[in-house]
Amino acid sequence: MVLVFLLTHYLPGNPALVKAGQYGDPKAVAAIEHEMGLDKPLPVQFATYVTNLVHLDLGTSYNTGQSVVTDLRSRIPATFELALWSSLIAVLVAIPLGILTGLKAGSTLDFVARTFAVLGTSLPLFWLGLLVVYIFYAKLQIAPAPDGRLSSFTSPPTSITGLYVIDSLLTGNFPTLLDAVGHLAMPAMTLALVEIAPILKVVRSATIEVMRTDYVRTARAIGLSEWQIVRQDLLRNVGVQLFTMVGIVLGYLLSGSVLVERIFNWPGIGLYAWNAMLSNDLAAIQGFVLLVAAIYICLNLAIDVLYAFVDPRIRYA
Amino acid sequence: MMATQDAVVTGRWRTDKKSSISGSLLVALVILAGLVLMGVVGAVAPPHNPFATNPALQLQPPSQEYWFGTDNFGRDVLSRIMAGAGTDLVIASLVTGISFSVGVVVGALSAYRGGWLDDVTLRVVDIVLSFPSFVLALAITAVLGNSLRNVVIAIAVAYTPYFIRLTRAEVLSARRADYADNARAVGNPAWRVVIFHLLPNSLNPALVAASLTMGWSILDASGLSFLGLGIKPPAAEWGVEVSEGASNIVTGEWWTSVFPGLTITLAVIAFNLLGDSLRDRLGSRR
Repeated sequence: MVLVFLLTHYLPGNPALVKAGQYGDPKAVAAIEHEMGLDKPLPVQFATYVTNLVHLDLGTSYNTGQSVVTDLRSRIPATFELALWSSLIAVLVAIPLGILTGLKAGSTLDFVARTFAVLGTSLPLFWLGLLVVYIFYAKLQIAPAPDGRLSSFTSPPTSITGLYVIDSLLTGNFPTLLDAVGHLAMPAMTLALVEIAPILKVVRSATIEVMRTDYVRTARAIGLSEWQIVRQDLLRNVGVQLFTMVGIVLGYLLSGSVLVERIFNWPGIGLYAWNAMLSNDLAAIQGFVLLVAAIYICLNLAIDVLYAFVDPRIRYA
Repeated sequence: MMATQDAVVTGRWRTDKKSSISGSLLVALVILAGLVLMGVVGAVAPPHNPFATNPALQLQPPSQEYWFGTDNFGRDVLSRIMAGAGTDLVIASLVTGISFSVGVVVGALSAYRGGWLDDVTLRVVDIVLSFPSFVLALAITAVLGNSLRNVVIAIAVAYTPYFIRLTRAEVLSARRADYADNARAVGNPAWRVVIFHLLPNSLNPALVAASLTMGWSILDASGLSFLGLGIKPPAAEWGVEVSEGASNIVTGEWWTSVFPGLTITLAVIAFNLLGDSLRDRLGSRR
């Protein structure tokens, strides 16, 4: 919190100057500075900042003229929808593939999957996004233009959860559903490709480890089929390992949100932060960084706590 | 009896030898040598001037004269990638150099000294690690303004904590080793014990991390530049080049951003593979 505050207060631009306009006279600038409290000493500004923060007031964005909290709240569903579907795709691909390659370690399939995993951790996300746009929009022309969540002529569904795909499904609005899924496909695929790599790696090595244990040998010895072993012993133990991945994948998602939302013009918190950063929108940058840190810390804490529930061998002193 | 034993021994030898020259290490070294060569050629004798614009040569597809085509301003894409190799490899080396040396020294001191120094270090590390590293680097460059120096600072700040943590953990366990006790017993001062006895035995994890950091910092630096928050155009940097070609992707002139992006990918793959082989060779756990 302190870091965020100090960081944004060393911004080279003067926000009051931005507000008064390029040719605003010095008196007007001073008046705005006074109104915004920018002429007070830094510790006083910090005290005001903390007080406001406690009241969930992150200040006003110079870009939109609205409170940052309102801005962020209206943009979170877009980012969340993207994160949700991309993670779902990633998990559905990575877990079966990881188990399969783990069971058949050393095979051609295993080699292909491992190459893919190295690629996934080495590809620049922004470039991958552009490739996806080139292939599916420019060449094959099966995806809609990389421009937001819906086509301009489609109206958003009645808001229930804020997630367009689920909302349009719940209200039975099928034209909107199709449009939303179409727009979601490319950015979700881009993020998913990057998420698959770390999950695949962990599932594969966990599978190899579990299949070598004594209890799997015992299970084999008493005549259980491979499928029974996979279902009873493997899945449960790999599941625990997967838990550790949530934090890493979340970091990817939060970092990736800015890049992917910029490419696909996706109106989430990443695009909001990007616009704010390009125009020295102090309060909005602070709001974004605080929100990301809050999500990151809370979820990592939640994982640590849940970890002990999932795996009874782990105890915290 | 003797014969079988010999067979076992030679068998062991063979497997050891095989694993020490791994294919991935070779791939990594070949790619890296290629990139460095590109950077050197680009600095000494590039095929074309990477900054000379020529409206007549706008967006030419790859040809014999321009292997990777030309960009929006008629500049040779290959020459710009070569010039970019200089920028990106320098950024990566600086970031890794700074975070490695600061991280190792602070980590070792904080482990050896303990007490308030250790407490403060751990708190700072926790604070920095509570942001995803790219988001932190984004925020820092947004504040400091975009220049090569600030990009290096921003990314180095984000990665130093990892080196502190790794080195601290290693020194903590090495501190109790017999050789450290012996070094102290013969009268070495604390700084000598840390620098000459503990550090050389605690560097392996940090060395592996250094290789991976080279790759990550290229990803981060080019990502920042892609967003317009890192290196500024018209400088030659891979992320800048991908970003300049981004609008051409929709209209079909793929070469302007595909080739620089491919170069980034190759570089990062090389450093990742290098890190993995180092990890295998040095036998460190993380």
